[in-house]
Parts: sequence; structure tokens; C-alpha cells
Amino acid sequence: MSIVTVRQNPIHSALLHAPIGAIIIDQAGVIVWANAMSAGLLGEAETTSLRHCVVYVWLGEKDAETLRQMIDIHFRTPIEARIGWSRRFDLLASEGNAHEVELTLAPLTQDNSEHAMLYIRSLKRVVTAERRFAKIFETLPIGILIVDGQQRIVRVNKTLACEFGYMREELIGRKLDILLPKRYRDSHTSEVANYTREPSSRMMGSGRDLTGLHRSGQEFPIEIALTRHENASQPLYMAIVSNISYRKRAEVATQQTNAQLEEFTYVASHDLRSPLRGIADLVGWIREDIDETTLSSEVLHNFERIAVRIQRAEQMIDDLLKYARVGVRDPHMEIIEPRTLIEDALALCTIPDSFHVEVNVEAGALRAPPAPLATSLRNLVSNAIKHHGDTKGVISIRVVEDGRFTVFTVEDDGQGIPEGTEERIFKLFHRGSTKADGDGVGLAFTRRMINAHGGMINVTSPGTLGGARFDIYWPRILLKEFDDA
Amino acid sequence: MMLECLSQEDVCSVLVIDDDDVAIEGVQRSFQRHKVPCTTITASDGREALEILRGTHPEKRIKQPYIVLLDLNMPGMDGFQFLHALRRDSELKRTVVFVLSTSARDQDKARAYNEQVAGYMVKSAVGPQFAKLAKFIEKYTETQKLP
Repeated sequence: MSIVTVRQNPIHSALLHAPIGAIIIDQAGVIVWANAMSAGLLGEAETTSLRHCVVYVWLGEKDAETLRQMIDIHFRTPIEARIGWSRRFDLLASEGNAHEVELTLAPLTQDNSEHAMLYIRSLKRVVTAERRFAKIFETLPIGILIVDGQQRIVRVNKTLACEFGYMREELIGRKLDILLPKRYRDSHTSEVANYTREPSSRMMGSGRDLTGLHRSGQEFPIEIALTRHENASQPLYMAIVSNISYRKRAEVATQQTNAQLEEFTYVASHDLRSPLRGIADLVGWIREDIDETTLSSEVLHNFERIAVRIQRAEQMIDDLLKYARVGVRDPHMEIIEPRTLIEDALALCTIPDSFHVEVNVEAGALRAPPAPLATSLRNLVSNAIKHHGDTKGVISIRVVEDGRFTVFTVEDDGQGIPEGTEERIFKLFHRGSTKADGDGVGLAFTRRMINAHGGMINVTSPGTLGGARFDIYWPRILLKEFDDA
Repeated sequence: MMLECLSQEDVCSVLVIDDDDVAIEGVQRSFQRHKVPCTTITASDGREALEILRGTHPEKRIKQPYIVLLDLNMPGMDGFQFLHALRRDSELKRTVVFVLSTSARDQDKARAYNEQVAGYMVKSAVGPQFAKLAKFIEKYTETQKLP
């Protein structure tokens, strides 16, 4: 053995500053040369202090035995058949906590059969990453499982096990099938085969209603996202399983509500209108067919009252249909300057000269459908005049920005609304007063329109001016849920 | 009561298909009041109307030329089913049909025009006592060349 010859080898000078620990050992495991990195990894200040040491001293008893066998086998192999051989070991670090490394035993050069190369790679980062992954995996409030190429569950988190009614340990090693209803199992196997041929990150069975099989035998709606899980030894696949029962329930409820509303409006528009028309016609004919001069004024008055009520009922049916219709979002969006919008809305209101309207805008432009917003403002202004209680007064319109919303405030100095009616005034056909005309749909329409576009409206009485104050919160930034285009 | 207005100059027959006797009588009364020179024949649903048009009805007969006033919502064979059968009948497919319905729904309107109706009238919009309807039918039958 001669260190000198070893040193002069150009390969060694290249390895001197390599970012990986490199050690040359002889058949007894004695270090004949080491680079700077290996000294660092083995917790020594100088490379010189490594020389003549046996490599086993940095290992525990078991690991030392394993490495000894590896080195033994390596040197007993004819030189041309020697290959690299990697294993994980724990280095005994001075702080007492083991430092996991990967040791790779490899032939040095084709003509040096006396020595071998031992590369040392720290697995600290890898281990930390693995631990971090394991922790995230475990604590994530979403069900995750990892299966191998044979569809066996190799890893599963608590959330998923709970969703399906199992303990985690019960699922490890089982086939994925036990989480699937029987009717999916056959097709699932062939789909898995397809997927493993061309793995990609995607939603599983998108568009189909997938269900999972709970331990109790009951099924529940799920959504599965599949992705290939990077792993060195064998291909693994990760599935993220979300229980979407709540969402499904909400979807179904919405669909049913919409269908019922549709049916209701149809019934209202047709089946209620027909008999009303019939009654109106019949009353007309009765009046035609009898000599009206023979009738008392009471009878004639009652005929008039019938006519008024029929008209009112027909008006209400029309309003019901309109009410259903204003619940649909207006897709027509524009950039709106609040001041322009208010001026346009006011231009279409009949405002007596005795009323003074103040407009104060402290908000920028917003992207919104102008029609429902303008209609809402118009309704509020005409309400303020109609229900003011006096023939003159002040109406103030203010616009400010508040978080996601642009807030339009319409308030007056009138009599306000009776205490305790704050919720009722927004109900369909609720009339604010018997004295003021109107059929009690303005505010109901206004609220439905605003809600349909993701906004809110509320009332305060008395407001700062002493009358009723209405605030419209209109979203400046649309949430995705309303963006179903 | 049946009000068949038969005058010498009847230019055309009108088949009124409606299950509501008040609606039918309304049409007849308005024809009378506005002296519309048309004979009205009535059917209470699509099936009876087809029988009349095909000449297989036990009592009611209709003479050419004629137009049809059709209600959509009826028990038995409704207006849409009637239109569907009519347009697939080689003898009758050119029949001029006006819809007279209480429904103002866009879907109903579209479905009716898909079956090539000549017009769509909403009952509440044809004026009190079907006055506008009477005038319209009179003008229509005077000026149009019916198939």
C-alpha cells in the first residue's frame, strides 16, 4: 500500500473538492485517502485525522457488520465484475443523534484491485423532506392514500381512514378495491392499467358520479385526484380523496329549488291566469246581458270592485313571474362610474322640486351589470319620496368602498320605517303603507336582484338623517362561485 | 249556449280548440259583436280537433277554407301534441294555426313557432273581450289567400 501513488492520481485531485464525501479504503476498511467533504460528514476537522482509521468506527455495531460484509464481498469479486453498491447507514455523530447517510462502495480504477472507493452522501435533507412530507400527509384534513403498482395501499392518512370508517392500520397492505363499490371494481382495474401506462395529474372519473364504499356498506359521493408519486424503487400513485357529500347535497337542493320555482312560475303564469280571465269575462258578459239601468248603485259598485280585484290579482301574477326572473344574473358587465350611474338613475325618477338630492361619491369605478344596479337605486329613491311622510325633504346618496364591496347608501330625513318591520319590508307583496300606492314588490325585487349578483342590502331606521337608510353592498370583485360562465 | 253565426258571406271557418268553455264563448261573442263573417266550430282538445279536420268526427264538420285558433294547455291531447300530429299529416300540414294561450312563456312561444304556427297570441293581450282578436281574424281572412 502506498499513499503516494494514490495521491498522484488525477481522479483524486478531482475528488478533493467534490460536494460528496469520497474515501479510499483498503480491504481491511482502513482509510488511505479522504476528501474534505468526507471529513466534514464524519465530524472530523481535518482529512489527515481520518487517515489510518478504520471506517467502521463511525458506525454502530450492526451497521459496521453490514459494511464489513459488503467490503468483503466487494474485494472477493474479480475486479472486472465489481460494481457500485449503495446502502443506508447511520453515522454515529458526536451529538448523539444519528446522521443518516448513503454509502456507495465502488471500484476505484480498473487496475487497482487493492483499494475501493467509498462515497458518503448525507441524507439529512432527504430525511427532513421525507419527515416533512409524512407530517403533512398525516395532518392534512383531506383524505390521501398511496398505492403501489398492484393497487395495494402502502400509505394512508387518518382523515381518509376515518372517512371510510377504518383504522389506518387496517388499510395498509389491502387492495384499493375495499374502498370502492363492487360495481366499479372491474372497470377500475382496467382504468388503473391505462393510467399507469400514461400517468398524469388529473381528476378521476370527472363528470361521473363517483362514490366511495364506507365500511358500513353505505356509499358516499367522493372526488378523487390522481397523481404519480415520485419514488426511487417502484412506481407509486397518490390519490387525494374528498368527501363531497355536503356539496352534493347543496347541489341537489339547488337543482330541486330551481325546478320547483320553474314549475311554480309556470303554474302561476298559466293555470292561475286562466280562471281569472274566465271570471273577468263572465262578469263582463253578465253586465252585457242584463239591463244595467235596472241595477242598484250597490250592485254596480260591486261590479267595479270585482274588476279592480281581478286586475290586482293579474298584476300580482305578473309580479310573481318578474320576481322569479330577476333572480337570474345579468351577464352584461360594464365598467361603471358610480356618479354617472346615479345621475342616470335619478334622471328616470320623478323627483318633486321640493325634494333635495345630495350625491357624494368616494369610490372608484367598478365592473358590474349596470341594469340591476340602476334599477335598485331607482327603487330606493322613489321609495324614499313615496314613504317620506312629508311633501318636502332631503335624500342623500353616498358611495364608498368597503373591502370587496362598493357600498351605495340611500337615506332620507323622512318618517323612517316602523320598528320591527326591517325584515318584512323586503317580502314580496308587503306594502309599506296603505296610503302610498304601489303593490309592495319594489323592495322584494331590489333584494332579489342584488342577492342574485352576489350583493346584499340592509336597512337601518332611523339613519343619520332621521329617516330610513338603505345600504347596497355590491361586489367590486366577483367571487368565483358567481362566475359560472 | 252555441252561437253559430251563419251568414251568406261567410268567408272562412274558424276551428277554436280550447278546453275552457268561457274562452270559447269569449271568442264567439267577440266575433258576433264585431260581425266577423266566420263560422266557428269548437273542439275541446287536440284529438277532437283532428277528427273534425280529417272528417271523421260523428257530428261536427268543417268546410274549406279554414283557420285554427289553438289553446296550448289542455287535458287530453294538448296544443303541442296537436301541432305535432298536424304537421306530420300530409293532408293537413299546410293548415294555418294561430296559438291563443294564457302562457306568455318564451319556451312555449319558441316551441309553437317551431311547429310553424302563423302567430302566437296571449289571451290577456288581445284586449278586453277578445276585441283585438276579432278584428285581427276579420282582417286576416279578408286579405290572406288561404291554402
